[in-house]
Amino acid sequence: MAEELRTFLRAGLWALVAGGIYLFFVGEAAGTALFAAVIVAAVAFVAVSAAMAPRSLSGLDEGSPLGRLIRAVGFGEPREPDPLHGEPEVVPLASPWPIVTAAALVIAGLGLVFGAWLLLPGIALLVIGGIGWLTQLDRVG
Amino acid sequence: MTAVERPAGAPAQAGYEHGHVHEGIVAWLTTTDHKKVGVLYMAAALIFFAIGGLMSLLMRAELAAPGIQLLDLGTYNQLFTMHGTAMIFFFATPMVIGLANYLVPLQIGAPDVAFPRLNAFTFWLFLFSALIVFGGFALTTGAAAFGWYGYPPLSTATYSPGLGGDLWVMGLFLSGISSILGAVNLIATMFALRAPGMSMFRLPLFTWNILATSILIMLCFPVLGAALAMLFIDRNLGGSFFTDAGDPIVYQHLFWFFGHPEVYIIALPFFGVITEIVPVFSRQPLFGYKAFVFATILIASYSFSVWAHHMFTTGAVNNVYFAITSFLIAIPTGVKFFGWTATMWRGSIWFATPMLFVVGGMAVFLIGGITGIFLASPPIDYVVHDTYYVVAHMHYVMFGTAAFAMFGAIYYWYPKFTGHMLDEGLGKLHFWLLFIGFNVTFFPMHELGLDGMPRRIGDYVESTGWGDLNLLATVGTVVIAAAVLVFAWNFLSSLSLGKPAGDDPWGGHTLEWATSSPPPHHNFTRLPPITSDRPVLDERLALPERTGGEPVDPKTSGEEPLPSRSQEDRHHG
Repeated sequence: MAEELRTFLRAGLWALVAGGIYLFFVGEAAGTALFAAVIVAAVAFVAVSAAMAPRSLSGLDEGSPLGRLIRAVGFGEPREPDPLHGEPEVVPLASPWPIVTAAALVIAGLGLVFGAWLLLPGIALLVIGGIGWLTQLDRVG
Repeated sequence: MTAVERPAGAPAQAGYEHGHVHEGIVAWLTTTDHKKVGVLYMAAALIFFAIGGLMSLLMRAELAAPGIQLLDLGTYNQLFTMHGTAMIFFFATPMVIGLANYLVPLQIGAPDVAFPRLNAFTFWLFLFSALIVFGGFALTTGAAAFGWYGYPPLSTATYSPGLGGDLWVMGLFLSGISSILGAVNLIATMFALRAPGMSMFRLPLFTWNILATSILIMLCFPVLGAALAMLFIDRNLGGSFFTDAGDPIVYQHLFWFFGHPEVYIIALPFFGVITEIVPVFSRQPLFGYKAFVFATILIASYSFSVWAHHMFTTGAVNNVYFAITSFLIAIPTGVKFFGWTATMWRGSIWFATPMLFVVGGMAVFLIGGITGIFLASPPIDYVVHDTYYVVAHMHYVMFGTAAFAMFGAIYYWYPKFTGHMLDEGLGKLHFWLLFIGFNVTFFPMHELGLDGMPRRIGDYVESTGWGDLNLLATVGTVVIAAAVLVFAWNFLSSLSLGKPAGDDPWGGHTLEWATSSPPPHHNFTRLPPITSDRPVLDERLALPERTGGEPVDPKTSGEEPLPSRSQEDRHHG
């Protein structure tokens, strides 16, 4: 198992030991639930990583909508081992969509404080930003 | 293993770049380059550091003498709330993320972070979130005024009406989303984009500390988000998670389950900074690399088991359990101190400004750590809880890392960021003013706390006898402000007037020193062979054997002498 997975596994094991002691001696619900959440998160990370590790997108039609979406959000083929050769994935040098999407999320958040007159434009801008972000690479080729 | 070089004429990262680079302000608004995003993070963090510092100046001016001087108590409440919020959430945490953004890809030999656009998104979300929180000052009801913990029932709409509190909750919630996404990005970068030869146990210690920090962020910020969401529902939608049928103690559990790991989210990366700087300026390889790695993992793990030592006096937690786990955390921290000391031992120490700051930071953090052991003991905590003793303790811990080590990091990596050196004379003046000013400000607070002065009060009566020590602390704050002004002048003037730095002005050990200053867009045109955690030093050691070169004196040439054979043996042994 790779060291990066073992690091997460150790965190889960620590939470299991500490949480077990906490549950036995303290028996308090909130803390026990938090320890349990750490265990679940660590195990989930290890499980998902292990499940995904041997696979690549090679079996998936990259022209399909799902393939394009997965490539757009960054989960493409594993990077070539040599960082200075090969053909790594395409990444734009600049993009307006991060700042647009962040502003949209904040406007939507402010909408929860001030009212629907901000919430609805925020959500609309969020949708526009998300579409622009996910389709940017396809549009530049 | 040989160095990896890009073929002559080949474009940087063929196929990696798309689109064109904008110029001027648009370039900064649309950038996805991890270095520019890192600079944006650090610049914003320093601005919030200045804002938080100005707030502390106002508070200290008010407390310099008994009676109301210049602030009413409501404004004072807003200031201490926003001072803590600014320093924790909008200075220390983003400064960590900014340094990580800039340095982690360089240290692992990667061209960028794993998700460059997500990286830019996290910065803008953090910045806009901060503006929301500070926007409370523009409201007639003012900004949040219930302390940076936001404890209910004080933080509920019943006791803290007004939109300032809602903006605080929403801003921190969104800022937490930014932190979580940033952590995911950094973890993916460290796991997926390491250069050939860069195994996990060859990662530089700064990067290891960022990995541990990122895991902490991933696990604890969602808990804060949940607490804030419930608080928002209580305030605005008639919920009762923490009021009426609910329980305010649950909020404290949730907050501190985030809050104590947050201390290490701030401290660990700066431990990493110290671990990078000490070997370079001691002219020694690091003592005990793996011990540092496992101490880092242990500190991160323990930090999830100590949260309720902040809640001893509630009477609702098991004090023995949390006292023992809190004592335990001193052990891996002690391992780090031992490693730093052993690295310096019999080294040829060069007290350039970065080294001054990290050694000063170690001394300050040590005092904070020792008072932390006292506070982990419930009988002592019951006596000094919520007094200025705790204020002194947390500032010794936080300032020792987030300020002293942060300044050390800036002096160390500024040449890499800008291609220019900071002025050493001004740097040393900055250090001594800060070191003296800090101790004059915060050491008396231990005594004030033991005398029973509560924290978060905007006034006190003369008969308490607290006036002299408060005046002394205020004088210290003015000295700190002078130190920061010296730094600001040095920082800004060196951008144009600083001496050219060259690629590796300090004789660094890690990969960022193998590229130009500042680095090109995708970082490297050539990578040295990576066979240990200090590839640049390895390559430098190998160089004289090929060329017949001799070690040079750093005091005359500004270059690093080559470590002796015994030092090499010491590392490998």
